Amino acid sequence: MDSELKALIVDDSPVRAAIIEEGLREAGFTRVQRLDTTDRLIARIGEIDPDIVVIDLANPQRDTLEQMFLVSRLVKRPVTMFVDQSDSDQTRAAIEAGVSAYVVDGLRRDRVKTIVEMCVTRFRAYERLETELHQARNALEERKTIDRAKAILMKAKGLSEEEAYSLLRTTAMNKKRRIAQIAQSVITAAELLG
Amino acid sequence: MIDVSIGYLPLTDSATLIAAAEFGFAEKEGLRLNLQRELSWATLRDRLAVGHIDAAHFLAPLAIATSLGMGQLRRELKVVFVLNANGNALTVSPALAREIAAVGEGALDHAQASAQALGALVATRKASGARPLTFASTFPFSSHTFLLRKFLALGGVDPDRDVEIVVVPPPYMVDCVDKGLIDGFCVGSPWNSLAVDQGKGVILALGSEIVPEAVEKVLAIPADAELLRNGVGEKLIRALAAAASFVEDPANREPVARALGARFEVSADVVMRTLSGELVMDAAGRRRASPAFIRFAGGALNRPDPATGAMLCAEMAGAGQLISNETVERAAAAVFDPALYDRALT
Repeated sequence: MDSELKALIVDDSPVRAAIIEEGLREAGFTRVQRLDTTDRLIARIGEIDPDIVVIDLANPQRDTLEQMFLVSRLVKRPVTMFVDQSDSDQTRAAIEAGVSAYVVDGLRRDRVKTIVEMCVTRFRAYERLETELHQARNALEERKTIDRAKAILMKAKGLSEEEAYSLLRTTAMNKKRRIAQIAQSVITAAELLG
Repeated sequence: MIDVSIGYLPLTDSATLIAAAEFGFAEKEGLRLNLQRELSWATLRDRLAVGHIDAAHFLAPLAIATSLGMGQLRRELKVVFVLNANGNALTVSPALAREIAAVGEGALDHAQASAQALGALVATRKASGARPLTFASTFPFSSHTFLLRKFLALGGVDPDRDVEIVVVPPPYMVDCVDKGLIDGFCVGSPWNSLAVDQGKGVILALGSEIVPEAVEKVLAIPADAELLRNGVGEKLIRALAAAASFVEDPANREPVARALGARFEVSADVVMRTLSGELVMDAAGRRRASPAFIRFAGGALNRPDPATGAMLCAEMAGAGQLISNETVERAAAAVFDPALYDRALT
Protein backbone atom coordinates (compact mmCIF):
# COMPACT_ATOMS: atom_id res chain seq x y z
CA MET A 1 0.00 0.00 0.00
CA ASP A 2 2.81 2.33 0.93
CA SER A 3 4.34 2.05 -2.49
CA GLU A 4 1.36 4.05 -3.71
CA LEU A 5 1.98 6.80 -1.18
CA LYS A 6 3.72 9.96 -2.23
CA ALA A 7 6.04 11.89 0.05
CA LEU A 8 7.42 15.36 -0.43
CA ILE A 9 10.40 16.90 1.36
CA VAL A 10 10.67 20.68 1.40
CA ASP A 11 14.13 21.67 2.58
CA ASP A 12 16.74 24.23 1.65
CA SER A 13 19.48 21.96 2.89
CA PRO A 14 20.16 19.34 0.20
CA VAL A 15 22.12 17.20 2.66
CA ARG A 16 19.30 16.99 5.19
CA ALA A 17 16.77 16.43 2.41
CA ALA A 18 18.85 13.49 1.18
CA ILE A 19 19.04 12.03 4.69
CA ILE A 20 15.27 12.26 5.10
CA GLU A 21 14.64 10.91 1.62
CA GLU A 22 16.70 7.83 2.40
CA GLY A 23 14.71 7.34 5.58
CA LEU A 24 11.38 7.60 3.80
CA ARG A 25 12.53 5.11 1.18
CA GLU A 26 13.61 2.70 3.90
CA ALA A 27 10.17 3.20 5.47
CA GLY A 28 8.62 1.98 2.24
CA PHE A 29 7.91 5.16 0.35
CA THR A 30 9.02 4.70 -3.21
CA ARG A 31 7.67 7.94 -4.56
CA VAL A 32 9.66 10.62 -2.78
CA GLN A 33 10.25 14.07 -4.21
CA ARG A 34 12.38 16.91 -2.94
CA LEU A 35 11.80 20.62 -3.36
CA ASP A 36 13.85 23.46 -2.02
CA THR A 37 11.97 26.56 -0.98
CA THR A 38 11.05 27.53 -4.48
CA ASP A 39 8.69 30.29 -5.39
CA ARG A 40 6.28 27.95 -7.08
CA LEU A 41 5.79 25.75 -4.03
CA ILE A 42 2.01 25.99 -4.05
CA ALA A 43 1.63 25.09 -7.70
CA ARG A 44 4.15 22.25 -7.39
CA ILE A 45 2.40 20.75 -4.38
CA GLY A 46 -0.86 20.83 -6.30
CA GLU A 47 0.80 18.82 -9.06
CA ILE A 48 2.56 16.35 -6.79
CA ASP A 49 -0.46 15.87 -4.50
CA PRO A 50 1.60 14.27 -1.72
CA ASP A 51 0.30 12.18 1.17
CA ILE A 52 2.93 13.53 3.49
CA VAL A 53 5.00 16.72 3.44
CA VAL A 54 8.11 16.89 5.65
CA ILE A 55 9.40 20.42 6.24
CA ASP A 56 11.87 22.06 8.59
CA LEU A 57 9.98 23.60 11.51
CA ALA A 58 11.50 27.06 11.07
CA ASN A 59 10.83 27.20 7.34
CA PRO A 60 8.71 30.32 6.72
CA GLN A 61 6.94 28.58 3.85
CA ARG A 62 4.93 26.71 6.48
CA ASP A 63 2.57 29.68 6.81
CA THR A 64 1.91 29.50 3.10
CA LEU A 65 1.40 25.75 3.29
CA GLU A 66 -1.06 25.94 6.17
CA GLN A 67 -3.24 28.47 4.37
CA MET A 68 -3.18 26.24 1.33
CA PHE A 69 -4.24 23.20 3.35
CA LEU A 70 -7.13 25.21 4.76
CA VAL A 71 -8.66 26.66 1.65
CA SER A 72 -6.88 25.87 -1.55
CA ARG A 73 -8.70 24.15 -4.32
CA LEU A 74 -5.40 22.53 -5.21
CA VAL A 75 -5.51 20.29 -2.16
CA LYS A 76 -8.21 17.71 -2.50
CA ARG A 77 -7.97 16.08 0.90
CA PRO A 78 -7.95 17.45 4.44
CA VAL A 79 -4.46 17.87 5.87
CA THR A 80 -3.36 17.86 9.48
CA MET A 81 -0.08 18.41 11.14
CA PHE A 82 1.64 15.08 11.61
CA VAL A 83 1.69 15.06 15.36
CA ASP A 84 -0.76 12.94 17.17
CA GLN A 85 -2.48 15.40 19.47
CA SER A 86 -2.61 12.89 22.29
CA ASP A 87 1.06 12.04 22.05
CA SER A 88 2.56 15.17 23.48
CA ASP A 89 6.00 13.62 24.09
CA GLN A 90 6.33 12.88 20.44
CA THR A 91 5.15 16.37 19.54
CA ARG A 92 7.72 17.90 21.85
CA ALA A 93 10.50 15.67 20.55
CA ALA A 94 9.63 16.55 16.96
CA ILE A 95 9.50 20.27 17.56
CA GLU A 96 12.70 20.20 19.55
CA ALA A 97 14.39 18.38 16.71
CA GLY A 98 13.02 21.02 14.31
CA VAL A 99 10.79 18.65 12.34
CA SER A 100 7.36 19.44 11.09
CA ALA A 101 5.29 17.45 8.67
CA TYR A 102 1.78 17.48 7.32
CA VAL A 103 -0.19 14.39 6.44
CA VAL A 104 -3.43 13.90 4.59
CA ASP A 105 -6.30 12.32 6.36
CA GLY A 106 -6.39 8.57 6.11
CA LEU A 107 -2.72 7.82 6.57
CA ARG A 108 -2.61 5.17 9.32
CA ARG A 109 -1.72 6.46 12.78
CA ASP A 110 0.95 3.88 13.48
CA ARG A 111 2.53 4.62 10.11
CA VAL A 112 2.61 8.33 10.91
CA LYS A 113 4.22 7.59 14.27
CA THR A 114 6.99 5.53 12.69
CA ILE A 115 7.65 8.16 10.06
CA VAL A 116 7.80 10.94 12.60
CA GLU A 117 10.21 8.94 14.77
CA MET A 118 12.40 8.35 11.75
CA CYS A 119 12.36 12.07 10.88
CA VAL A 120 13.23 13.08 14.42
CA THR A 121 16.19 10.68 14.53
CA ARG A 122 17.46 11.87 11.20
CA PHE A 123 17.00 15.58 11.89
CA ARG A 124 19.03 15.05 15.07
CA ALA A 125 21.67 13.10 13.19
CA TYR A 126 21.93 15.93 10.71
CA GLU A 127 22.32 18.44 13.51
CA ARG A 128 25.09 16.36 15.07
CA LEU A 129 26.79 16.28 11.69
CA GLU A 130 26.56 20.07 11.48
CA THR A 131 27.94 20.45 15.00
CA GLU A 132 30.80 18.09 14.28
CA LEU A 133 31.64 19.95 11.08
CA HIS A 134 31.58 23.19 13.00
CA GLN A 135 33.85 21.74 15.68
CA ALA A 136 36.23 20.37 13.09
CA ARG A 137 36.42 23.79 11.46
CA ASN A 138 37.08 25.43 14.82
CA ALA A 139 39.76 22.89 15.66
CA LEU A 140 41.49 23.66 12.38
CA GLU A 141 41.36 27.40 13.10
CA GLU A 142 42.81 26.81 16.58
CA ARG A 143 45.63 24.71 15.13
CA LYS A 144 46.56 27.58 12.85
CA THR A 145 46.47 30.10 15.70
CA ILE A 146 48.72 27.91 17.87
CA ASP A 147 51.18 27.42 15.00
CA ARG A 148 51.40 31.18 14.45
CA ALA A 149 51.93 31.83 18.17
CA LYS A 150 54.64 29.16 18.28
CA ALA A 151 56.44 30.79 15.36
CA ILE A 152 56.31 34.17 17.09
CA LEU A 153 57.70 32.75 20.34
CA MET A 154 60.43 30.77 18.54
CA LYS A 155 61.62 33.90 16.79
CA ALA A 156 61.29 36.29 19.74
CA LYS A 157 62.82 34.07 22.39
CA GLY A 158 65.02 31.78 20.34
CA LEU A 159 63.08 28.66 21.38
CA SER A 160 62.69 25.33 19.64
CA GLU A 161 59.21 24.42 18.40
CA GLU A 162 58.78 22.01 21.28
CA GLU A 163 59.85 24.61 23.85
CA ALA A 164 57.50 27.19 22.37
CA TYR A 165 54.57 24.81 22.59
CA SER A 166 55.50 23.82 26.13
CA LEU A 167 55.61 27.51 27.12
CA LEU A 168 52.11 28.05 25.69
CA ARG A 169 50.83 24.99 27.49
CA THR A 170 52.24 25.85 30.92
CA THR A 171 50.99 29.43 30.62
CA ALA A 172 47.54 28.15 29.71
CA MET A 173 47.57 25.82 32.71
CA ASN A 174 48.71 28.53 35.10
CA LYS A 175 46.15 31.03 33.83
CA LYS A 176 43.39 28.41 33.63
CA ARG A 177 42.82 29.27 29.99
CA ARG A 178 42.79 27.25 26.81
CA ILE A 179 46.02 27.02 24.79
CA ALA A 180 44.27 28.59 21.79
CA GLN A 181 43.28 31.60 23.91
CA ILE A 182 46.86 32.11 25.10
CA ALA A 183 48.07 31.67 21.52
CA GLN A 184 45.62 34.36 20.38
CA SER A 185 46.95 36.71 23.11
CA VAL A 186 50.51 36.12 21.89
CA ILE A 187 49.47 36.98 18.34
CA THR A 188 47.59 40.10 19.46
CA ALA A 189 50.53 41.22 21.60
CA ALA A 190 52.94 40.64 18.72
CA GLU A 191 50.71 42.68 16.43
CA LEU A 192 50.57 45.52 18.94
CA LEU A 193 54.30 45.49 19.63
CA GLY A 194 55.44 44.65 16.14
CA MET B 1 16.39 38.14 37.87
CA ILE B 2 13.67 35.88 36.54
CA ASP B 3 14.04 34.77 32.93
CA VAL B 4 11.04 35.04 30.61
CA SER B 5 11.43 34.00 26.97
CA ILE B 6 9.20 35.63 24.38
CA GLY B 7 9.07 34.83 20.68
CA TYR B 8 8.32 37.58 18.18
CA LEU B 9 8.23 38.42 14.50
CA PRO B 10 10.11 41.45 13.15
CA LEU B 11 7.22 43.94 13.02
CA THR B 12 6.80 47.47 14.33
CA ASP B 13 4.07 46.21 16.66
CA SER B 14 6.60 44.18 18.64
CA ALA B 15 7.91 47.58 19.86
CA THR B 16 6.48 47.26 23.36
CA LEU B 17 8.25 43.92 23.89
CA ILE B 18 11.53 45.27 22.57
CA ALA B 19 11.23 48.44 24.65
CA ALA B 20 10.44 46.39 27.77
CA ALA B 21 13.61 44.36 27.20
CA GLU B 22 15.94 47.16 26.15
CA PHE B 23 14.84 50.28 28.05
CA GLY B 24 14.85 48.86 31.58
CA PHE B 25 11.12 48.22 32.11
CA ALA B 26 11.50 44.47 32.56
CA GLU B 27 14.59 44.88 34.72
CA LYS B 28 12.72 47.23 37.04
CA GLU B 29 10.27 44.38 37.70
CA GLY B 30 13.10 41.91 38.27
CA LEU B 31 12.67 40.21 34.90
CA ARG B 32 15.11 39.41 32.16
CA LEU B 33 13.29 39.12 28.81
CA ASN B 34 14.90 36.82 26.28
CA LEU B 35 13.43 37.85 22.94
CA GLN B 36 13.62 35.23 20.21
CA ARG B 37 13.01 36.29 16.64
CA GLU B 38 11.10 33.92 14.39
CA LEU B 39 10.19 34.30 10.74
CA SER B 40 6.77 32.71 10.59
CA TRP B 41 3.61 32.48 12.65
CA ALA B 42 3.42 28.68 12.43
CA THR B 43 6.86 28.35 14.01
CA LEU B 44 5.96 30.80 16.75
CA ARG B 45 2.70 28.95 17.45
CA ASP B 46 4.43 25.57 17.67
CA ARG B 47 7.21 26.83 19.92
CA LEU B 48 4.62 28.36 22.24
CA ALA B 49 2.44 25.25 22.16
CA VAL B 50 5.23 22.92 23.29
CA GLY B 51 6.73 25.34 25.80
CA HIS B 52 9.95 26.33 24.00
CA ILE B 53 9.03 29.90 24.86
CA ASP B 54 6.97 31.30 27.72
CA ALA B 55 4.98 33.82 25.70
CA ALA B 56 4.57 35.01 22.15
CA HIS B 57 3.86 38.13 20.10
CA PHE B 58 0.74 36.79 18.43
CA LEU B 59 -1.93 37.63 15.88
CA ALA B 60 -5.12 38.15 17.88
CA PRO B 61 -7.23 35.71 15.78
CA LEU B 62 -4.43 33.12 15.87
CA ALA B 63 -4.76 32.98 19.67
CA ILE B 64 -8.38 31.96 19.18
CA ALA B 65 -7.64 29.50 16.37
CA THR B 66 -4.88 27.80 18.40
CA SER B 67 -7.13 27.57 21.46
CA LEU B 68 -9.95 26.05 19.43
CA GLY B 69 -7.61 23.66 17.61
CA MET B 70 -8.37 25.06 14.17
CA GLY B 71 -5.85 24.30 11.51
CA GLN B 72 -2.90 22.68 13.23
CA LEU B 73 -1.36 22.33 16.66
CA ARG B 74 -3.82 22.90 19.49
CA ARG B 75 -3.06 24.54 22.81
CA GLU B 76 -5.41 26.50 24.99
CA LEU B 77 -4.03 30.03 25.19
CA LYS B 78 -4.76 33.22 27.09
CA VAL B 79 -4.33 36.69 25.70
CA VAL B 80 -2.95 38.59 28.68
CA PHE B 81 -2.02 41.91 27.06
CA VAL B 82 -3.00 43.74 23.89
CA LEU B 83 0.17 45.08 22.28
CA ASN B 84 -1.37 47.49 19.77
CA ALA B 85 -4.26 48.59 17.63
CA ASN B 86 -3.93 48.99 13.85
CA GLY B 87 -0.58 49.37 12.06
CA ASN B 88 -1.40 47.58 8.83
CA ALA B 89 -1.56 48.79 5.27
CA LEU B 90 -2.46 47.51 1.84
CA THR B 91 0.25 47.64 -0.79
CA VAL B 92 0.14 46.77 -4.48
CA SER B 93 2.83 46.39 -7.12
CA PRO B 94 3.72 49.61 -8.98
CA ALA B 95 2.24 48.04 -12.15
CA LEU B 96 -1.13 47.39 -10.49
CA ALA B 97 -1.06 50.88 -8.93
CA ARG B 98 -0.68 52.37 -12.44
CA GLU B 99 -3.64 50.33 -13.68
CA ILE B 100 -5.74 51.47 -10.71
CA ALA B 101 -4.74 55.11 -11.24
CA ALA B 102 -5.76 54.81 -14.87
CA VAL B 103 -9.31 53.80 -13.93
CA GLY B 104 -10.20 57.37 -13.10
CA GLU B 105 -9.29 60.69 -11.55
CA GLY B 106 -8.54 60.50 -7.85
CA ALA B 107 -8.36 56.70 -7.70
CA LEU B 108 -5.32 56.87 -5.41
CA ASP B 109 -6.61 59.71 -3.22
CA HIS B 110 -8.19 57.70 -0.43
CA ALA B 111 -8.96 54.10 0.50
CA GLN B 112 -12.59 54.13 -0.63
CA ALA B 113 -11.72 55.52 -4.07
CA SER B 114 -8.91 53.00 -4.48
CA ALA B 115 -11.14 50.09 -3.47
CA GLN B 116 -13.75 51.12 -6.03
CA ALA B 117 -11.16 51.60 -8.77
CA LEU B 118 -9.72 48.17 -7.95
CA GLY B 119 -13.26 46.74 -8.13
CA ALA B 120 -13.76 48.22 -11.61
CA LEU B 121 -10.40 46.82 -12.68
CA VAL B 122 -11.18 43.33 -11.37
CA ALA B 123 -14.49 43.39 -13.27
CA THR B 124 -12.76 44.41 -16.50
CA ARG B 125 -10.13 41.75 -16.09
CA LYS B 126 -12.79 39.12 -15.43
CA ALA B 127 -14.73 40.12 -18.55
CA SER B 128 -11.59 39.93 -20.68
CA GLY B 129 -10.61 36.54 -19.28
CA ALA B 130 -7.38 37.79 -17.71
CA ARG B 131 -5.95 35.78 -14.81
CA PRO B 132 -7.39 36.75 -11.41
CA LEU B 133 -5.23 39.03 -9.27
CA THR B 134 -3.42 37.43 -6.33
CA PHE B 135 -3.22 39.12 -2.93
CA ALA B 136 -1.31 37.94 0.10
CA SER B 137 -2.25 38.02 3.73
CA THR B 138 0.18 37.12 6.52
CA PHE B 139 -1.72 34.17 7.92
CA PRO B 140 -5.23 32.73 7.53
CA PHE B 141 -6.17 33.78 11.09
CA SER B 142 -5.09 37.39 10.98
CA SER B 143 -6.52 40.89 10.87
CA HIS B 144 -4.76 41.15 7.50
CA THR B 145 -7.05 38.53 6.04
CA PHE B 146 -10.11 40.36 7.37
CA LEU B 147 -8.83 43.77 6.28
CA LEU B 148 -8.04 42.54 2.81
CA ARG B 149 -11.50 41.00 2.49
CA LYS B 150 -13.17 44.22 3.69
CA PHE B 151 -11.15 46.36 1.31
CA LEU B 152 -12.01 44.11 -1.65
CA ALA B 153 -15.68 44.09 -0.64
CA LEU B 154 -15.70 47.92 -0.58
CA GLY B 155 -15.07 47.78 -4.31
CA GLY B 156 -17.63 45.03 -4.88
CA VAL B 157 -14.98 42.31 -5.27
CA ASP B 158 -15.87 38.86 -3.94
CA PRO B 159 -12.72 37.81 -2.06
CA ASP B 160 -13.54 34.11 -2.48
CA ARG B 161 -14.30 34.11 -6.19
CA ASP B 162 -12.84 37.13 -7.96
CA VAL B 163 -9.26 37.01 -6.66
CA GLU B 164 -6.80 34.53 -5.18
CA ILE B 165 -5.75 35.04 -1.57
CA VAL B 166 -2.52 33.37 -0.46
CA VAL B 167 -0.35 33.61 2.63
CA VAL B 168 3.19 34.95 2.78
CA PRO B 169 5.08 35.67 6.05
CA PRO B 170 5.77 39.42 6.56
CA PRO B 171 9.51 39.42 5.87
CA TYR B 172 8.92 37.81 2.45
CA MET B 173 6.15 40.09 1.13
CA VAL B 174 8.36 42.59 -0.67
CA ASP B 175 10.32 39.87 -2.40
CA CYS B 176 7.16 38.06 -3.56
CA VAL B 177 5.57 41.17 -5.06
CA ASP B 178 8.89 42.02 -6.71
CA LYS B 179 9.04 38.58 -8.32
CA GLY B 180 5.49 38.99 -9.60
CA LEU B 181 4.18 36.07 -7.53
CA ILE B 182 1.58 38.32 -5.94
CA ASP B 183 -0.04 41.58 -7.09
CA GLY B 184 -0.51 43.08 -3.66
CA PHE B 185 -0.53 42.36 0.04
CA CYS B 186 -1.81 43.39 3.41
CA VAL B 187 0.84 43.35 6.12
CA GLY B 188 1.97 45.13 9.27
CA SER B 189 4.72 47.74 9.51
CA PRO B 190 7.38 48.31 8.42
CA TRP B 191 7.02 45.96 5.45
CA ASN B 192 4.69 48.22 3.42
CA SER B 193 7.07 51.15 3.82
CA LEU B 194 10.04 48.98 2.88
CA ALA B 195 8.29 48.02 -0.35
CA VAL B 196 7.74 51.72 -1.11
CA ASP B 197 11.36 52.63 -0.33
CA GLN B 198 12.65 49.92 -2.62
CA GLY B 199 10.34 51.06 -5.43
CA LYS B 200 8.59 47.68 -5.33
CA GLY B 201 5.20 48.73 -3.98
CA VAL B 202 2.67 51.52 -3.69
CA ILE B 203 0.59 51.81 -0.52
CA LEU B 204 -3.06 51.89 -1.48
CA ALA B 205 -4.74 52.17 1.90
CA LEU B 206 -3.92 52.37 5.57
CA GLY B 207 -5.64 49.78 7.74
CA SER B 208 -7.00 52.54 9.97
CA GLU B 209 -8.86 54.00 6.97
CA ILE B 210 -10.82 50.77 6.61
CA VAL B 211 -11.24 49.77 10.26
CA PRO B 212 -10.61 52.73 12.60
CA GLU B 213 -9.75 50.72 15.70
CA ALA B 214 -8.76 47.08 15.42
CA VAL B 215 -6.96 44.97 18.02
CA GLU B 216 -3.83 43.80 16.22
CA LYS B 217 -1.06 41.91 18.08
CA VAL B 218 -1.38 40.47 21.54
CA LEU B 219 0.79 38.67 24.05
CA ALA B 220 -0.33 35.06 24.27
CA ILE B 221 0.64 32.48 26.87
CA PRO B 222 -0.57 28.92 27.47
CA ALA B 223 -3.70 28.88 29.67
CA ASP B 224 -2.03 26.51 32.15
CA ALA B 225 1.27 28.44 32.34
CA GLU B 226 3.06 28.82 35.66
CA LEU B 227 3.35 32.52 34.86
CA LEU B 228 -0.33 32.95 35.57
CA ARG B 229 -0.02 31.66 39.13
CA ASN B 230 3.46 32.33 40.46
CA GLY B 231 3.37 36.13 40.45
CA VAL B 232 5.72 36.48 37.48
CA GLY B 233 2.83 37.25 35.11
CA GLU B 234 1.92 40.38 37.09
CA LYS B 235 5.50 41.64 36.85
CA LEU B 236 5.46 41.03 33.13
CA ILE B 237 2.19 42.94 32.66
CA ARG B 238 3.50 45.90 34.67
CA ALA B 239 6.70 45.96 32.61
CA LEU B 240 4.70 45.84 29.38
CA ALA B 241 2.24 48.53 30.47
CA ALA B 242 5.12 50.89 31.27
CA ALA B 243 6.89 50.02 28.02
CA ALA B 244 3.68 50.56 26.01
CA SER B 245 3.25 54.09 27.40
CA PHE B 246 6.91 54.78 26.62
CA VAL B 247 6.50 53.63 23.01
CA GLU B 248 3.28 55.60 22.56
CA ASP B 249 4.94 58.86 23.67
CA PRO B 250 6.11 60.74 20.54
CA ALA B 251 9.16 61.98 22.47
CA ASN B 252 10.52 58.41 22.61
CA ARG B 253 9.97 57.47 18.98
CA GLU B 254 13.56 58.03 17.92
CA PRO B 255 15.25 55.66 20.37
CA VAL B 256 12.49 53.08 19.83
CA ALA B 257 12.90 53.33 16.05
CA ARG B 258 16.65 52.84 16.43
CA ALA B 259 16.20 49.76 18.65
CA LEU B 260 13.71 48.19 16.21
CA GLY B 261 15.76 49.08 13.14
CA ALA B 262 18.84 47.43 14.67
CA ARG B 263 16.92 44.24 15.46
CA PHE B 264 15.12 44.00 12.11
CA GLU B 265 18.17 45.08 10.11
CA VAL B 266 16.26 47.93 8.45
CA SER B 267 16.83 51.68 8.64
CA ALA B 268 15.56 53.50 11.72
CA ASP B 269 13.97 56.11 9.40
CA VAL B 270 11.52 53.67 7.90
CA VAL B 271 10.50 52.41 11.35
CA MET B 272 10.12 56.03 12.46
CA ARG B 273 7.58 56.70 9.71
CA THR B 274 5.47 53.75 10.81
CA LEU B 275 5.62 54.77 14.50
CA SER B 276 4.54 58.32 13.71
CA GLY B 277 1.87 57.29 11.20
CA GLU B 278 3.27 59.63 8.56
CA LEU B 279 3.55 57.30 5.63
CA VAL B 280 5.13 57.76 2.24
CA MET B 281 2.78 56.07 -0.22
CA ASP B 282 4.87 55.74 -3.38
CA ALA B 283 8.24 56.40 -5.00
CA ALA B 284 7.05 59.90 -5.98
CA GLY B 285 6.85 60.75 -2.27
CA ARG B 286 3.06 61.15 -1.94
CA ARG B 287 2.24 61.23 1.78
CA ARG B 288 -0.66 60.22 3.97
CA ALA B 289 -0.73 60.73 7.72
CA SER B 290 -3.02 59.33 10.36
CA PRO B 291 -2.59 59.52 14.14
CA ALA B 292 -4.64 56.30 14.29
CA PHE B 293 -2.24 54.45 11.99
CA ILE B 294 -0.70 52.53 14.88
CA ARG B 295 -1.36 52.88 18.61
CA PHE B 296 0.39 51.18 21.52
CA ALA B 297 -1.34 52.53 24.62
CA GLY B 298 -4.08 54.83 25.79
CA GLY B 299 -7.47 54.24 27.37
CA ALA B 300 -8.22 50.55 27.75
CA LEU B 301 -6.23 49.57 24.66
CA ASN B 302 -3.87 47.14 26.44
CA ARG B 303 -6.52 45.39 28.53
CA PRO B 304 -7.75 42.10 27.06
CA ASP B 305 -11.51 42.32 26.56
CA PRO B 306 -13.66 39.18 26.07
CA ALA B 307 -15.78 41.27 23.67
CA THR B 308 -12.77 41.42 21.34
CA GLY B 309 -12.64 37.63 21.30
CA ALA B 310 -16.32 37.40 20.43
CA MET B 311 -15.94 40.05 17.72
CA LEU B 312 -12.95 38.25 16.16
CA CYS B 313 -14.91 35.01 16.27
CA ALA B 314 -17.57 36.71 14.13
CA GLU B 315 -14.85 37.93 11.72
CA MET B 316 -13.49 34.40 11.41
CA ALA B 317 -16.98 33.09 10.71
CA GLY B 318 -17.47 35.83 8.12
CA ALA B 319 -14.29 34.74 6.35
CA GLY B 320 -15.56 31.15 6.28
CA GLN B 321 -12.94 29.93 8.74
CA LEU B 322 -15.35 28.58 11.34
CA ILE B 323 -19.00 28.02 11.98
CA SER B 324 -19.89 30.05 15.01
CA ASN B 325 -22.38 29.13 17.67
CA GLU B 326 -22.82 30.09 21.29
CA THR B 327 -20.23 27.59 22.59
CA VAL B 328 -17.60 28.62 20.06
CA GLU B 329 -18.23 32.30 20.74
CA ARG B 330 -17.93 31.80 24.48
CA ALA B 331 -14.67 29.90 24.05
CA ALA B 332 -13.29 32.67 21.81
CA ALA B 333 -14.32 35.35 24.30
CA ALA B 334 -12.64 33.44 27.14
CA VAL B 335 -9.28 33.58 25.34
CA PHE B 336 -9.20 37.34 26.00
CA ASP B 337 -8.86 37.15 29.76
CA PRO B 338 -8.37 40.41 31.70
CA ALA B 339 -7.81 38.66 35.07
CA LEU B 340 -4.00 38.85 35.11
CA TYR B 341 -4.02 42.39 33.73
CA ASP B 342 -6.43 43.53 36.41
CA ARG B 343 -4.46 41.84 39.20
CA ALA B 344 -1.24 43.43 37.98
CA LEU B 345 -2.45 46.97 37.56
CA THR B 346 -4.95 47.56 40.32
